[in-house]
Amino acid sequence: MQINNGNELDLAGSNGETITIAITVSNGAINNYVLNGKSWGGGSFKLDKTLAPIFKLLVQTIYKASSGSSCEITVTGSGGGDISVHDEVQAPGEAFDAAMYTITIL
Amino acid sequence: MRRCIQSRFCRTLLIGTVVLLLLLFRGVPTFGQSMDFQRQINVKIDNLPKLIAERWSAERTTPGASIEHTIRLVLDPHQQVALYALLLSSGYAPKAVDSFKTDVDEARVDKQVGSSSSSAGSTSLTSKGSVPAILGFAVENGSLDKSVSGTTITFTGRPVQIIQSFQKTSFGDSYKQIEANPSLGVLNRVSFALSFDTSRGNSAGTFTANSNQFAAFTLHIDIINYRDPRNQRFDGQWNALQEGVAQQLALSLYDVYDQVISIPAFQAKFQKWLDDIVETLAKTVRENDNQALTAAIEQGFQSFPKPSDIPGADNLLSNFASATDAMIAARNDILAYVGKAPIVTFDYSDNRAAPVSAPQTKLPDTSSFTLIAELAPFKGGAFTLNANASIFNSKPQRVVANMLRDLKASAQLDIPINTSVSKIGNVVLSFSGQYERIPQNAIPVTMTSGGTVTTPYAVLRGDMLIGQAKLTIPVKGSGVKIPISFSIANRTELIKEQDIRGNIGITFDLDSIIGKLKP
Repeated sequence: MQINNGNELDLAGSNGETITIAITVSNGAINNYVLNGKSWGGGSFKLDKTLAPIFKLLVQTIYKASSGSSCEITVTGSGGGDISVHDEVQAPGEAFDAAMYTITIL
Repeated sequence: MRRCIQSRFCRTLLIGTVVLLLLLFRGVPTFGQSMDFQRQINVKIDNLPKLIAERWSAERTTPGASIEHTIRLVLDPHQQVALYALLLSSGYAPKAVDSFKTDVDEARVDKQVGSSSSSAGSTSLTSKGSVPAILGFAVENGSLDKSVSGTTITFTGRPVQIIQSFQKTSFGDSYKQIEANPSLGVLNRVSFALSFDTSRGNSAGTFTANSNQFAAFTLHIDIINYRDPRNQRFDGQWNALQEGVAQQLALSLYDVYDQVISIPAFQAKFQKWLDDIVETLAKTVRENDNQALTAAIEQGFQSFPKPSDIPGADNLLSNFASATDAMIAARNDILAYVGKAPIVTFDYSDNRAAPVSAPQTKLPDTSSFTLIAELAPFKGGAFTLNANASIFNSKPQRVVANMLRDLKASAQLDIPINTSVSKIGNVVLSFSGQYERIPQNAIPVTMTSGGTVTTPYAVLRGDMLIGQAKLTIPVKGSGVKIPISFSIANRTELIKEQDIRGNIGITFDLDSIIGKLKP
């Protein structure tokens, strides 16, 4: 897996590569996932060019408290390469945020 | 009854009640849910300078780094999908109703930042159940039950979280450490307060923090306090939100990205907007002008492209607006439920007696024991009960007195009032009443050639009733609150005459500031 253009949410991977997403640090945060337009429970998925040339994964974070919540999202590929680490840090008063990952199949 | 109305005490009480009822009538909180799209948009836009500064700080030393590239990354739709979806759908959001804004920490009415009622200068007749998580600071002037007024400065804090703060643990991580470690959890139930009376000592009127001005040490122990939404006892409600409205919101947000934000028709307009704003923002960062950066961001977002001419966009944006509304409403319901959890705490205060001038005789120091119970009878409000006993630490000299100085019982009702003033937020109107029983005189009398001399801090046997109305005005986002109170008493502890007082203070809860600096 590789990170495109220094943007940890703009990724690329090989066809058949397994992508794993993990919430590596979480404090007062709830995460929801949508993978290629469908609800998804998190964990791992395999890149498959026959399904879509670009996989799209939305990771939404709901903050429980009014301030001080955060989470760290780590994405890795089974083929090695770059590791994507993205932090969601709550601004005071913020109710939710989201990160939109795109993974282009090479 | 007629005699009562004619008396000054009852007249004041009657006028006070009418004024407060009018205030309530004008600003009674409506318990509906607020969509408050604009607030979420503002929070995210206000946070952009921080995101740019942090990212640039991390990337500036890497080969080929440029501020333009960093700003592009921060404003990239991958990163700002929620902000852009909110901006695009703001026209589809239901009109916000005049309602409570659940900014939980700032709106909390359960924190005791100032001194307890027995201190000179206190603005609180009834002590509250919680104290700031890290540090609090209060300056208050006046007095509630004594004949002598004073100015009290109080520092409040929790030792565990103060140490964590010195260890550079983030505000969020500190809570996680405490929850994971039972020993830390037990220790974190303990907090302290140090009060200084600036009217004492050689430099009266100036805060010197020396031993002469030291007035009281308070130990505060949480027996029951579950008012933190991150507490695991609320996991059930959060799980239900996650599986229901939060997942619906995620699906609708995905659709807005996939079928509006990322399509070429919108991207053409977006890239033009992005090119313009990146150039402007980069200039302000190079000039190290944070104020200009903030202003440029605010101005730049006023020309954010519109989703016109995109087929199906209306429906998708409307769905997203409804899903956001539902999620925020459900989240607010959980926070309101959390805010109603009961609090039971115990306070021990060691109160240092005020110095007297010769030939007056000083009364001994006192110890106060207070049991505090707090409930939330309605959303955002609080009803607090105090039961208190004070004893002399030693038998008073030159006076026949019990060790028991007084017994007190008090109650307070706090009602948040929505002012609709953005810089203020919710003010809190409080009504409080206290009954105090002084079982025996404690009047140390000194015989002099000119007659007898006593101290203004003496107490006279009898029953004392105090009523108080208080308005606490917050300065939004600063942790600062200004309590203004009026109290009326049938007597003071020394003088058996009706007494009307006004008190004012300023309290500073550092939790809000530290939460922003060390999220």
